[in-house]
Amino acid sequence: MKRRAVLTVIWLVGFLLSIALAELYLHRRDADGLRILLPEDRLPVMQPVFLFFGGYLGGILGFWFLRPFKSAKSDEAERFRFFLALVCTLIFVLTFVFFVAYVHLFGPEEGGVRAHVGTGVTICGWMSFVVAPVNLYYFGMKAGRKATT
Amino acid sequence: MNRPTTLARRANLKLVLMSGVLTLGACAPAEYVTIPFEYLSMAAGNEGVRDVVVLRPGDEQRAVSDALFLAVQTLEHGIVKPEVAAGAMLPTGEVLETGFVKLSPEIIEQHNKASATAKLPPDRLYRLSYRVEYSIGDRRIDLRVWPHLQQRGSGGEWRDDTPDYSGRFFTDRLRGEIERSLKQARGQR
Repeated sequence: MKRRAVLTVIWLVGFLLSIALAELYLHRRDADGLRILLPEDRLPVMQPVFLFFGGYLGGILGFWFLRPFKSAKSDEAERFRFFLALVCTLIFVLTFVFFVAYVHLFGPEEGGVRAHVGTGVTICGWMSFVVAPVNLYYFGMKAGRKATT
Repeated sequence: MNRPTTLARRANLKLVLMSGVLTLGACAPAEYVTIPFEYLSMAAGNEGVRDVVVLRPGDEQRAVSDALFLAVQTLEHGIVKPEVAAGAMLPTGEVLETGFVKLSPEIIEQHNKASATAKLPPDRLYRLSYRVEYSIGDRRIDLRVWPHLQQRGSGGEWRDDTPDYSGRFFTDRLRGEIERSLKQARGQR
């Protein structure tokens, strides 16, 4: 239970951090005193963030109520699954957050924010074959008698 | 109770749609400009007055086309539509479209000083293009100008939905350049 909660929190924090970083572009000024994004840019920038996390968070939160997969046979297997899911999730979420934060870190350019968020979605989309099955299986696994999940 | 007729409802809908389009401000409404001119023979006795545009009879279109081309270039735009071969005249009665040029903060400041109501916030980037249609009448050059302003943040993409701006200000810049070019050309023709 606790392990699942840790993974869920990582996903939710990644989601909220991405939204906060995207929102910050609307309030920050660059070195020349110019707005980085205009209020009209909010929806086009937020949309891919919501769509991206929506698919994963929908599955994860859904599996809190529905667990279709059998539990691990041993604690060791369970621990390994958790380790795998944790590492994959951290790499995945941090990669996405990095691309959302790109313009904060390296400065603005024309169309930069949307382009980098788009790049994050694409690259994490390529990485999803690593993270999606692991996470979905981990979250969808029934709690075993000995397992500490 | 009087119920609105279908026509009235359609008119209302049109008004709502039109106000929506105007609010978006993709292209300012057309500004009409007239530049009067005299023919060379008529102005012969008036050589001292340099403030009159003087054209040679039969040479009006060439002169206006060259002046328009030069004015657009002076403002750092280029004609992008229609494609015109080098040395060819710009067609009359056809909408010409220029490329976009970034506006400096100084121009935005001038705009805000010149316009009493429409102010452009200085905390963003702007670029401008023109659509221009010209025709030559009896001792007058008629221009229809649609200035097209776009804005963006430093990390965003160009957008049409700008705050209200003075199309007259940007039209007057173009008009000023055209007149200057026409007057400069006077001595060279």
